[in-house]
This record gives sequence, structure tokens and C-alpha cells, in this order.
Amino acid sequence: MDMKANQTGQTSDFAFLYNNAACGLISFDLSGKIHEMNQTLRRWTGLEDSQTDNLIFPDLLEKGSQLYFQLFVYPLLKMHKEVKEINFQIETESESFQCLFSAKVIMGSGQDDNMLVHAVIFKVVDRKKFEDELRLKKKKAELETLQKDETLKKVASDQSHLVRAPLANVLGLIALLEQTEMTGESKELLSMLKESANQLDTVIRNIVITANT
Amino acid sequence: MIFAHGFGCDQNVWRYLIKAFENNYRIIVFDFVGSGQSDLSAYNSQRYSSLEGYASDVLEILERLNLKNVIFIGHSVACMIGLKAAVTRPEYFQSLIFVAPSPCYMIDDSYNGGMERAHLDALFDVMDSNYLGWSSSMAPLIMGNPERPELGEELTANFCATDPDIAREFARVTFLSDNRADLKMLKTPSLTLQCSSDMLAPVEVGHYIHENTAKNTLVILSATGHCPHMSHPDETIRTISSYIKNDKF
Repeated sequence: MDMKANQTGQTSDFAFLYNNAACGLISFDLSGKIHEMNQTLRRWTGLEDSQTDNLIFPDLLEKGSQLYFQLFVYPLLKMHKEVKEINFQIETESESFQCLFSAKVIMGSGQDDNMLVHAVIFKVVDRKKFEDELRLKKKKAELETLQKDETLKKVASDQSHLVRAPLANVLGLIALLEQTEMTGESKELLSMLKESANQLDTVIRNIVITANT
Repeated sequence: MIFAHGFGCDQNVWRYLIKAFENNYRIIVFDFVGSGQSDLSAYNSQRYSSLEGYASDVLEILERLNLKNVIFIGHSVACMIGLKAAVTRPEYFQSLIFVAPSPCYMIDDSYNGGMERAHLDALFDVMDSNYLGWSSSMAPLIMGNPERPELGEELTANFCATDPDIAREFARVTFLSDNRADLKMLKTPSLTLQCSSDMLAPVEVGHYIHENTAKNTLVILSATGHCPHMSHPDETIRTISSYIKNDKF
């Protein structure tokens, strides 16, 4: 770690702060090769100094996070020089935990190859539980809405069929009645009956249409 | 030359290659629906439930711009999208350039696609917990607001933003589909650029494509990773240029 300061005391203060920060700090180049890693992150990952010499950063991640790094995070680091709050699962031989990863790419001596990724890693064990709970609830709510929709559709479709059969009979019987001899008053009543039956038919048709769209 | 980005980012990934070719070629770049600054309202789960939907979009672009003799450059999943487009309408294409392609990402008895189902499920899970640069309040911005230029700044911050719901479906179409049968139907000449160490597509995949595709040239790059066009642009540009120059179409 290159920490040039005028006073030796200050340097060691910086080094102390770096190593004992409340978050993991790591620097790696764009090929993934790890350059620096603070003691906090070493403690969290259980990795000794010598063990990180031949590791690349994605080696610290679980497989799904590795794939995510390749697909989403690498392009951002390379082309945008920054990523924020990526949720990864860190997985080493002895340790495994959820973290948030934020990083900036800092140019070295102006050459693309000299770019270093400086990353901050926060353990998010408790927050993750809360988040998982929310995701679970969301999934459950989505499923319930879907099931409700299906049930509603089925009820509407079944019930309308059940109601329409006798209604069809009523309409048929009205048509037969119309052909019989009737007094003026009966005719009027029959006409009103027919109108109401037709209205009911329209309402039921609309329910079926709405349920099926 | 038309550049088609792969799963996970948008047209921004082509910056180095565009710079190298823009003096000699007419360059077309675009964002697949759901990615970058595409019109999210154009998404339709049915149409995009297979790569054919995306291939139709490529053909629509070529048709609308009235292009011929196109060199199609695709990355990752876009290679198979381009291949499907060229199988359907070969008359548009001069050649296809596949950057880190794979016709099938999953391993089976006789084929090493590189990934197990469990790895993919783990990826889908990580995707679900990372709404990268996206929130529903941003959606109207992404859908384009030419009359409000001040939103441009926020859009830049939205680099490679992907609608999470679309990304979820696109990921499944990308990684769970098997397009190996399409290789044999391609008549257009093609170049396969395979990286020497790519966790998404092992070198065997490059050989598989080469052996099963007519008029295919295979180059194994010394570049590692899944994105040689970003990580090793010089080698990628050199290889593409020499292929375009030397091959007689």
C-alpha cells in the first residue's frame, strides 16, 4: 500500500485505519488480480496474505455472483469506471457471507492496463434477511394475485354458464308464450318480462367477456 | 456494420470497436428491448420468449434502413440472434462475427456448454437481488423524453441499466435455450472469436461451433474473460480486420 505522508506518525495512522476499517477494502486490476486487501476483509474471508497472491477477485465469489460479475459488473467497471451497491455472495474455503460491493476505477499512469479497481465491501447479513423477507412477501403477493385472478375468472365463467342455461329456457318459453292467444294486459306483462330477461342476458354476457379479458 | 450487444449491458460496450471501424464503415448500434435506452413499452413476453423475437428486431432494423452486405458483429447471446436472422434472411448479410458465442450454455452428456443448471439458478438469484441502476421511478425516463434534455444526465448515470423484469425473462431465454440445431442452417460466412478462458463459454464451445457451421473460421484469442471487445480491444479489432480483409465472400 503506497501511503506517502510527511510524517511517519500519519502514515501509520492511515495504515491502521485502512487495515481496521469497519468495511472490507480491496484493490484489484481489471484482469481481477488482487493488489491490496485490508485486514478486515482478510478476517472476514479467512484469507492469509500469501493466499491472495494467486487469486483473482472473482475467486472470492460464489458461482452465481461470479457470473453476475462477468455479465453485469465487469462491463460497468471497464466502460463506466464505477459501480454501486452490488449484492454479492462472498464464498471462500472457510467463510461465506452476503455483501454490498461498491467500486471506483482509478487510472494509474494514464494507461488502460494500469487501471485499479478500488472497492468497498460491507457485510449485509441482517439487512439481507430483511430484504429476503421483503422479496418473499412480494413473491407471495404476486402469486396470490395471480391465483385470485384465475379463481375469479373460473367463478365468473362457471357461474355465468350455470345462470345462462335456465335464462335461455326462460327466453325460449317467452318466445313460445308470445305465439299464444293473450289479453292486452298479459301481452304487456310478457313484454316487460322479456325486456328484463334480455337485460339479465346482456349483464351475464358482459361478465363473461370481462372475466375472459 | 451492425453491432449487437450481449446480455447484461447495452451499446456502450462497443466504444472501442466503433472507434476502430467508423472511418471505413457505416456503423449501426442499437439496444435490445429492455436494455439501455430502449422503449420498454415495446416489450412483449410472448414475442421475446425465444431468440427469434430478437432476431426479427435485427431484421426490422436492416429492412428499415434498407441495408445490404451487412457485417453483423454480435457478442455472447447476440451471436445466436444474428445467426437466426441470417438463416431467415441471408440476403442482408455479408458475414457474421461472433464474439464469445455459445449455441447452448448448459452442459449435457456429449456437450460441454460450461454451466450446470444450479449455476444458472444461482445467477438468476443474484440478478433478483440486484436491480442494477434501475427503479420503477426511472422507467419513464428510460422510455425517452426528448423534450426534457435535463434528464440526460440521469440517463448517463443509468449506464447499462436493465429493466429487472425483462432482464429476468431475457436471462432465461439466453441461458436455457438450446440453439445448436441452428448452426447447420447458416450459409453466410462467419468468424468465431473464442476467448481462451471464459467461464460462460469454454473453448470447446468454439470448436463445436466451428465443426457444425459451414464456412466458419475459428480464432482462439489470447484474451481471457467473456468480453474481449472490452478487455482486449486491440486483439479483437486486429482479428476482425484481418478476417474482413482476407476472406473472399
